[in-house]
Amino acid sequence: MDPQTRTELLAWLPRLRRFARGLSGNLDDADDLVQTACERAIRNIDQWQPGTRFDSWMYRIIQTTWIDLVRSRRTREAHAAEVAAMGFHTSTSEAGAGNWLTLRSVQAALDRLPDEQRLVVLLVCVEELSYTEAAEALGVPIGTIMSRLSRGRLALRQLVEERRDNSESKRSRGKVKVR
Amino acid sequence: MTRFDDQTLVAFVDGELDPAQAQKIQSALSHDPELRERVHVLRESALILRTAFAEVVSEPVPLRLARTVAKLADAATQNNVRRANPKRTSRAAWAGVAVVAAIALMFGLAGGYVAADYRIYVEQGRKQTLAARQQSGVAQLVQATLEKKLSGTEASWRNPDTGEIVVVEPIRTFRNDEGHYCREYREAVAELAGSKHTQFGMACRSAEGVWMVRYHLVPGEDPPALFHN
Repeated sequence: MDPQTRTELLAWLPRLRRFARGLSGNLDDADDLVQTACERAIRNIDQWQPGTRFDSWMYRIIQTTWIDLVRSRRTREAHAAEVAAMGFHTSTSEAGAGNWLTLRSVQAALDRLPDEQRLVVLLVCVEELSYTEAAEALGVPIGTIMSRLSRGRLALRQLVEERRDNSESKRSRGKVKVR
Repeated sequence: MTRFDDQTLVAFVDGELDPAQAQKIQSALSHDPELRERVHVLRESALILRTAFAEVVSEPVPLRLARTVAKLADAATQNNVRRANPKRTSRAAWAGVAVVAAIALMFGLAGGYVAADYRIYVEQGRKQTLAARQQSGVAQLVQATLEKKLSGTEASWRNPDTGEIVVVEPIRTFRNDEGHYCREYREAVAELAGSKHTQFGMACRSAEGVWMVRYHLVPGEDPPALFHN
């Protein structure tokens, strides 16, 4: 691995962690995921084509690593079941604790999405990849990106509604309105 | 009235629609409140996601992770060099290696390669230290300024490593629903070259007297409507 690629890999770590965090649902798993993905990337660095985006390549490795981890551990299902058991109200009341939605309540909403929708939503909305770049990172046609994305985004409407409910319930309690 | 499907609206919000179609939606927005609402919700849910994850990307990478990855990369570099060597099987090449080795030994340069790699490692570490120092410098400035300065007055900090000057100016103060004081502020970084980055933030004061940053906003993006009831 040449020094430049090495520097680039290290520089991307914060964003790789963010993507992994969105996928795995917690930071400890995310760091394990990033580390395993980096190991794979370093081992297969010959497969990266200079001139193409390094981050798209890394996102793709994280995605495949994550799918492998999920298949072997099946932690995902257990976690999703846990979140489902907690019910929607848990995240609502938590969000109500402040006048902003916490990462945890956003994560809970993300966790309810099917895996392939969550991947696309994270790449486009959080990592701010273009549709073409996301298609490249996931190895699927752009039409697939668009349909998964729109289904995922519609499901996330609840985030906005949740926040609206919070502010309305606060207003009805007669508290001082901000601004 | 044209009915736009969800996929088209999502692409519109993401700026991925072709200009002609985007223009159509743009003009429909002015007289179609239902369309406005759909676009607003799509835009806002994406903003909520981005803002929520901003805290992950702004926190420092755990040293353990950064070190492990750096070591793995370094190990790969050394392996590559080792792998490359057996190819040089011609006698002339081996003779060349022998000569280089002899010279290296003579001049005590046997560790030359390792030293070069170590320098890269140190350089990386130095950059991380510098980034951390910048971060903590700015964090201290934000704390002190929000705690002491009136809105409309600015305070600055000069990064001794880079010469950059960071300016923080509280803009507005209010109390949130929990009765905590919150302040919106402007944060500008002036680089030596003269270019200037400005972003806006909002922080609320915790019961312990610490200003917790609730969000950062870079101009040009949607206003943080979600934080105001």
